[in-house]
Parts: sequence; structure tokens; C-alpha cells
Amino acid sequence: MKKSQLSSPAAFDLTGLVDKVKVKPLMASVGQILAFADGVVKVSGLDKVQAGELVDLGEARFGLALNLEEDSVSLVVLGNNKDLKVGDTVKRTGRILSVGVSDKILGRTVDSLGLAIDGKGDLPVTKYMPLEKVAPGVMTRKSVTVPLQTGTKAIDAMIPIGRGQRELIIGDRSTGKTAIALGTILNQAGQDVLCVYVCIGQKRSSLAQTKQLLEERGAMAYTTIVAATASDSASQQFLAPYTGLAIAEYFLDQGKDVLIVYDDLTKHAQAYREISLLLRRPSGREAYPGDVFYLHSRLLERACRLNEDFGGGSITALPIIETQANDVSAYIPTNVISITDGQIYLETDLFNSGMKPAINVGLSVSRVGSAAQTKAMKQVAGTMKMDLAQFRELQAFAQFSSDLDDRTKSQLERGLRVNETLKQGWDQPLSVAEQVMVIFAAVKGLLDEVEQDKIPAWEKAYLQYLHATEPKLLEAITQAQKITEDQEPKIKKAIETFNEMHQEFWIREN
Amino acid sequence: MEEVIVTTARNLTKIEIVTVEKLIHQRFSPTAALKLVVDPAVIGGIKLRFGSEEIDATVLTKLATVNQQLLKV
Repeated sequence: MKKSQLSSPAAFDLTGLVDKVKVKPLMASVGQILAFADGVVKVSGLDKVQAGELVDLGEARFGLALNLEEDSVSLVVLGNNKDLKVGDTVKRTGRILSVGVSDKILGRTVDSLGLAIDGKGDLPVTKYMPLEKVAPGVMTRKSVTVPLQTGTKAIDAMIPIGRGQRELIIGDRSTGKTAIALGTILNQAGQDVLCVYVCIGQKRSSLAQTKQLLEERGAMAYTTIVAATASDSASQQFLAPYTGLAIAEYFLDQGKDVLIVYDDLTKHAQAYREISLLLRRPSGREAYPGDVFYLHSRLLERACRLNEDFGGGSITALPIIETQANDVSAYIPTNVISITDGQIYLETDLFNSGMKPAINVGLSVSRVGSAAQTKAMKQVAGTMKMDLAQFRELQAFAQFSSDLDDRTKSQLERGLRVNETLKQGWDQPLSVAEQVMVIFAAVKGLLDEVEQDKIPAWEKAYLQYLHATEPKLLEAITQAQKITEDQEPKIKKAIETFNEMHQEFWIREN
Repeated sequence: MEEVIVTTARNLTKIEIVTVEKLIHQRFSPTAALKLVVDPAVIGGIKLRFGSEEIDATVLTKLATVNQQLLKV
């Protein structure tokens, strides 16, 4: 070899690296592949393998031990399963499935094994978090007291979500389920909440779109995407939510507040059904295995709010469920409804009639969030839910009779306007103070003079006006989180002045 | 009958067999029988298999380990 070759940096590095390689033989527990079909490997040997253990299939491929039988073990292959042959030797790793996490994972897109798939290089690992873990116990928890602002008026006012809550988003296809979840992620900018978006069985094109949107709006700075798309194996789709949760728990351990979105758990259940059927586990209703309830309950039970002794962090979960033809009484929807602390119910009919977000306020509930709602919001939205319910009732009656008394008429007009203020673009989240100001105007009857279909335009101009003329008022409401008695006339005055200035929004007399 | 499968690249000499047998009786089971397998594919070294336990000190596996660890860097 020539001297120049020896001293070249590449040659030097390689020698150093080869020296570092550890080749000491170790005693290993091994097995042989007996059969392989549909992503499921049947293995002999592997004595003492644990359920849920990672098994080395060679060439950086891994399997997950799921069925332990008398004389064989069934594994599901994670990742690619090319070139597996009968008779190949597989090895125990002794590792229960875990994912390597560090603070650097924010802003990145990873697969269900925690490996980067966004082409920005490998992720450093500071801690391995287990995918399966027992949910925090009763003694470590605290009730929900801090609100999680979604930025959507209809939700923050009537179906408030608290940090540590599990709120289901349920509805048919293309009713804006993902949009609500993404809007919530966008609204967490500057709120000290980290986000994990878990994409299960979605199209790669929509994942790319979501990623691009979050990047454009600067939301990737505090968000991690965990992706198992439709073209990934069922085993990866099955693991993705647990991977996302493990990442969330890494931040929870640091006492941080985390929001995790599972988009969507219907596909997750389907992936698990596929695995279970291939593993020949007995099937039950809709061919789902017997433990499909436990599949989701153990996932969602890990959402929590810890008390100060345990760091005081929280994990808020927003699972998404897709229904078929509004059927919420199907197997998986009823399961997840019963596990979660409330649901946001979206309807195709509302969506088609132009009500966006298409939230059915009557059927949507939040079981714990009202404890966390800010006082300002409670003040303006306290009666809103009842008003809207009354309005809907009247609306049904009004269809039958042509002449109504004035009171009913004005109630209907008011209801229409309140309803109209709930419309909002999903990517235009509003701050609490802004929401309070808009709802205040609607419920106090200050919108009665405004043409109904001009309300969105009115709202836009009104908020601009407030930011320009009354920044102190907005600031005060944000700080104190309530409307004081002397503020109320001020707000009224501001709205009246604005209405005076903008007569183009007024109802035209014919 | 307990059995230890010994895989090597070439036939072992009698002295080598006795040495291996002695070690196996110490390590695994004093009554284990030896089953000698010659597999040139392992290139060199030795591989012992006892039930589902395996000690792999073949050149083939060492090369694979080197390959894997270098790819990680």
C-alpha cells in the first residue's frame, strides 16, 4: 500500500472503527423459523422468551413475540420482511419493545420504531421509553384544572377540554375531524404545550400535507409526528399510538404538558384485528378479538394529569374515531366513547349545510373540562348551550307555523346569530380573549342589528378593531381570565361604537 | 438424550474433539453427547448449540457483527 493511501483520513478512520467493533461471542437464546406467512413468523425454540419481547431476525430486522404456545412462538415482523427463510436462526434480545427519545425529537417525523423518516438524519437517544407501561396510579394523579385551549369557539365555550383529559372526536369521513385536531395543535403555539400527532393508516399524501401545513405555520417547533401510513404493515400501525404515547411520556416525566392526537383509532383497531386473525386468535363481534377494548383502554388510561409530587405534567389525548353512516353504536365507537371523558360529535348534514366546524352541540359532551374552563368563558358561555338548545327546538316548531309572536321571533333571530358566530375556519384559532369578546357580543344581543350572513365578516373586522383600539382590554381579560363588572359596560360601548362605524353590516330594511 | 450440536468449518482432530467435549461437560451438562456438523459456510471458528441456547464464535457471525456495527456508525 502506498504511503499516501495509509495517511488518508478515510483509511485512518476505518482502522479505528474496526478496532472498536465488539465481536465477543455471547450465549444467546435462539430459535428457528418454522413457517412464515402474512407477516407472521412461527418459530421453534426461543425458550423463556417474554410476551412482547423484541426478537432479532437478523439483518437489522425485528419481530415482536405475541403468541407464546407450548412448542412454538408466533412473532409479527416489524418493518420489511423480505428474504426470511424457513430454517433461519432468530435470537432473543431480552428487550421489551421501547423507543429511543431525546428533546431533539420535536420537529421530527418518526415511524413506529422511533426511527426518523423525514430524511433529516438519525435522532440522538437520551432515554429509552417502554411502549407498554402501566397507567399512572390513583395516588399520582390530580383532577383536571387547567384548560387546554383548542382555539375553536364552539369547543372552548361549550365542550371545554382540560389538560389531562381524553376527548374523543367522532364523526363520518370528511366531516373535519382531523381539521379540529390540527387546529388545536396550531393553537398550542406559545401555550407551553408540546404536541404529538400520531397518524395511523392514513394516506401518505395526507400525511405529507399535514406535515407541510404544520411546518408552514411554525407548529413543528413543538410537535412530533409519528407515522404508520396505510402502506406500512399492520404491526407498525398497531404500535404507532404506543410509540407516540412513549414519546409523550418522555416529556411528561419532565413535568411538561403534552397533547397527543391519535388519527385515527378505527384504523388502529382494524390493524389489530388483522394481526389477531393472522395469529389465529378467536374473533368476536365484527371479527375483532376479545381484547380490543383493552387495546384502547390501556392506551387512553395513560393520559393523565400528575400532581406536583410527580412533576405536575399532563397528557391530553384527542383520539379520533371514524363512523360509518353516523352509526355511533358500532363496536369500536361505543368502546372508545365509554373510555373517554366526553366526545365531540361531528355530522355530515351540518357540514353540508355550511356549519363548520360541524359540531353537533346537543350530542357533544365534555365530562371533566368544565372544571378547567376560564371564568371569562364561563361568564359569557354559561347560558349559551341552553340558548342554542331552545333555539333548535323553536326552529323545529317554526317550520310549521307562519305567524310567530314577537318574542319567539326575536329568540329565533338571536339563536341564528349565536349559531353563526360558532362558525370558524379550522386553521384560524382564536385566543380566549378574542373568543370571549365575540361570544359576548352574540349572547348580549349586540349582533341583533347585524345581517346574519355578514357575521363572519363582521367578526373579522371587529377583532381587528379591538386589537387596534382596545388592546388593554384584551390584555386584561387574558391576564385576569374573567370579565370584571366595570369592564362589561366598556366592552358593550366598544361593540356599539364599532357597529356605528360599520353600517354596511346592518340589516337592510326592505 | 441431551445433545450439543458442534458446528465447525472443517473436521476436528481427535484432540480438539476431546477438548471441546471436556468444556461442554463442564459448561452445559456432564452427560451431553456431541453431534459434530461440518459446514464450510461458517468459514472458521466454532458454534455450540444446546437446546435453544447457542454460543456462536464463528468467523461468519463475527464478520456479520462487524458489518452491522460499522453500518451503524
